Amino acid sequence: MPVFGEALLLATMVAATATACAAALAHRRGSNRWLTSAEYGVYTVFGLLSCASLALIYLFVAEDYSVKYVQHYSDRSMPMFYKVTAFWGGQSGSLLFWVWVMSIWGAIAVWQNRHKNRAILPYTIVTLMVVSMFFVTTMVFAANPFDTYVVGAPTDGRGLNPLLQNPYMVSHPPSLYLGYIGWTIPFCFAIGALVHGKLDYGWIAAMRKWCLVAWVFLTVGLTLGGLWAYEELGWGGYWAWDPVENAAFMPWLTGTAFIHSIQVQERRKMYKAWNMLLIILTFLLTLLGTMMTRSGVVQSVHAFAQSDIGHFFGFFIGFATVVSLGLLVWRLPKLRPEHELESVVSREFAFLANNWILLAAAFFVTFATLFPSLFKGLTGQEVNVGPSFFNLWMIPIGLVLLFLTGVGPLLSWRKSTGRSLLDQFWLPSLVGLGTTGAVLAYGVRQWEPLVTFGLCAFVAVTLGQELWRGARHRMKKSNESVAVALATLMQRAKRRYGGYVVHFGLVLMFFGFAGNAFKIEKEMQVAKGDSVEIGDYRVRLDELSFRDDGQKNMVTAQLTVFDRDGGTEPLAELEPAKWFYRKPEEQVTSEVDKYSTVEEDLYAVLGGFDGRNQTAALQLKVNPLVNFVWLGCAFMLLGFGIAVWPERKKLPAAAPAWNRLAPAASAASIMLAFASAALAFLG
Amino acid sequence: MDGMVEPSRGSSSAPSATSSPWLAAAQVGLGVVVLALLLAGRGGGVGFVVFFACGAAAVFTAWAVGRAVSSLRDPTLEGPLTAEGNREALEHEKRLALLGLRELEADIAAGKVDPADADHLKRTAEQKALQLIHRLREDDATWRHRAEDLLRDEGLGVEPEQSQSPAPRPASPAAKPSGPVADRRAFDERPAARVPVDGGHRCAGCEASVGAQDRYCGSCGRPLEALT
Repeated sequence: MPVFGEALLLATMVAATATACAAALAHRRGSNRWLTSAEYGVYTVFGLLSCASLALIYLFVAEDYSVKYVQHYSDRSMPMFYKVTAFWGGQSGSLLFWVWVMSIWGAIAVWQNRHKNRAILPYTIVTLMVVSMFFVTTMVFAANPFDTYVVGAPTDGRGLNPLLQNPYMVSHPPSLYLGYIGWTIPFCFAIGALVHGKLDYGWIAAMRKWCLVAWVFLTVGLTLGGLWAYEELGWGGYWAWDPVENAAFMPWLTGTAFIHSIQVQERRKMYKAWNMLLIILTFLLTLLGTMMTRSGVVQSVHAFAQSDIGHFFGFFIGFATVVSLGLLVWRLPKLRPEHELESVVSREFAFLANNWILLAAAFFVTFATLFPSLFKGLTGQEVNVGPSFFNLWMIPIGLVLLFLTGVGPLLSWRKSTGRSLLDQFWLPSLVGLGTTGAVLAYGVRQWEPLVTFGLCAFVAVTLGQELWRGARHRMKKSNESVAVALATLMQRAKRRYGGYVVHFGLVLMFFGFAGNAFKIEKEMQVAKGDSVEIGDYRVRLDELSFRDDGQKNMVTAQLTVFDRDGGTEPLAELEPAKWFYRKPEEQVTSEVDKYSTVEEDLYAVLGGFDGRNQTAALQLKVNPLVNFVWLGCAFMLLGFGIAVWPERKKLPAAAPAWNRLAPAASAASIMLAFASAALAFLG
Repeated sequence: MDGMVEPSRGSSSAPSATSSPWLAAAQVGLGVVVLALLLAGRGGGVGFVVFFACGAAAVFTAWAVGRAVSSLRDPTLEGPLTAEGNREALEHEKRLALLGLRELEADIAAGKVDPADADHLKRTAEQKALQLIHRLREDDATWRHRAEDLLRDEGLGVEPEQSQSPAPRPASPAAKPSGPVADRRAFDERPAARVPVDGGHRCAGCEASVGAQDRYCGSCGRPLEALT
């Protein structure tokens, strides 16, 4: 099987090369035959990589420890579930997973465009194949997952890092990869359009939904990563500006800028070159992020081991930069805007400002992440850029973005007049200022939560106002009830109102971030039967228990949580634990437990223990509003669902009546999804 | 409409080219099942499933390779890369124009647009949407005429559907619609009546189905009379 796997990788290189050549010939000769052949070539690459990936998974399942990668990242005691997911647990396997996912996306994109956008498809396929070839070549020459021990193959594996044996780590990397790699498809379409010179609406139509899909997967991946850090690492937070987190955050920032500014191109035929630049930057940042985490360039708690694939990535990033920016410069005359910016008080300008801020944030995060490595390379001295430095800059940047989230929808395209500004802004501004005043009166003196709460209220009111005014217009015009008017409004302008729901999700996230300012932490030694008070809770240590499940030793603290003000009824029972894995190398993990309510989490970690005296070192934290961060992500998903919901097809007049139920069913599904998210949050 | 003249790439119109890969794929598939059964002991049920999926992927690959090679000899794929993308881009632009019009109305209703500006913006947006609808209709007509010519060349004369083709026949089949509509012919801007049909409505101008809320016919672009 390992030989079969290696052969598949080599065959993929050949197939990708042949496909790229066929596609280039299709463009040169304008031949439908060559293009069709190239399309099947893309399916061939997908088939070969599927074979290779499944072969590697099979090797994990079959416990073939003669394969180095399998031996390094699994062992016999691991549950089957984690054996399968260990596929992406290490460097070379995750590279294979990466290129496999890209082949899946590529095959879907080509299939979607089998009857359209034929003119730009050849170089879209060439680009896709070149990127695939790069990853496969890197694997074959520098990180082959099918490498075997020549002699003396071990009979058991070293085991997967216990931190990765967590349900969130099962869903987080695929989601992140789907998002990361999703940006490759719009990039390929952009290059296809640049080479062909057909820069009208075709390529935008072809890649618009891909951008949204990539963006939503990246958002979910980042949130799941935050959840994993929160529930597995035991430090009580969800974001630490770690280089690996930053690597995924950088393309998210430029991708978000692109999703916004592409609307200006669609509506006003402006920012054409800017949009091209943004999609190229987003793709290059995904490559840079991948290089940072895999080459040992930056130090991180969860970066992959140092390896020499950095040279491959460095070369390819340089190549991709030169080619894509060269094409952009070459096509600049065709990318001239058809309208000029008429006023700075317009939605176009709000989008541009949003783009500048997002781009500034992306460059800041990239620079600050790479700074320690650059500094060490230049001076030989170690320097650390910690979370406080990132927060110093990123909190104001984030708040400006939040402000623009509220301002943008209130402005009109082209220009806004003073009267309309006053009419649109007075209520949100009043509520925003009122909220800040109320929070100030409540005793909060830190500027970050004060401004955040005020801006959250401002943006929430702008969104509510938009919904209400739209619904009121429909109620007057069509004599509809509020509910019907709101549902019709959503149905008729899904992109706009889906976007608003995403923005509301962002408001909830910022509301959750603001909770960090009110965090309470306590760390103390507690004996069996003793209690400790924190926030509104009293926590009692009932017992320390010891168990072994064959894979690990588990020490668990049994805690009971009560209301601080004399309540005798327990609110919850918590079981924070320490797990001592036998493999790899006696690794220890802290298993967090928490008591969650809508407004806060009581977060418990077992720091240490003394089994003889039945005492435990407990780290307790109260994290206010943290659940709003996850709820915000759920709203973003809901908004995405609304925005990409397919347009209602016009039915023939004689269509059966039940066919007309489809829109109602769509609306019901959206409402159900929303209700589920809300229930999950409350539950 | 373009489907009438576009070569059917997915169809199996070249039996000699396609049957052998299928046969080979079936043989490989059978081999995979046998191998999977033999190797199931190593990875248990999950191993069997993964191995079987791997085999299925191999069969798919064999099929794709076969099609990639046979496409180069497929006579149905003869011909240059056409510019169907223009059509796609036009339709996308039309969708955006209609969406923009809808949003503009919402903005006007919400008081975001200066009343002095509103009329001008609305008129411009409506004109743009109408132009796009008309260009699409011309595109339809061009393709329909090309198809009719093809059929006539084959000796299969067709009667043009008068009610479905109000656009004039282009001077040459190769002539592509371009430039502003106003340059070439006047657009019928007279409001059309809404004819009730089985609980829905049709445009009296072109008989296409229209919604009760629609103010323009999505097919011919004529304004529709308001329902009273």
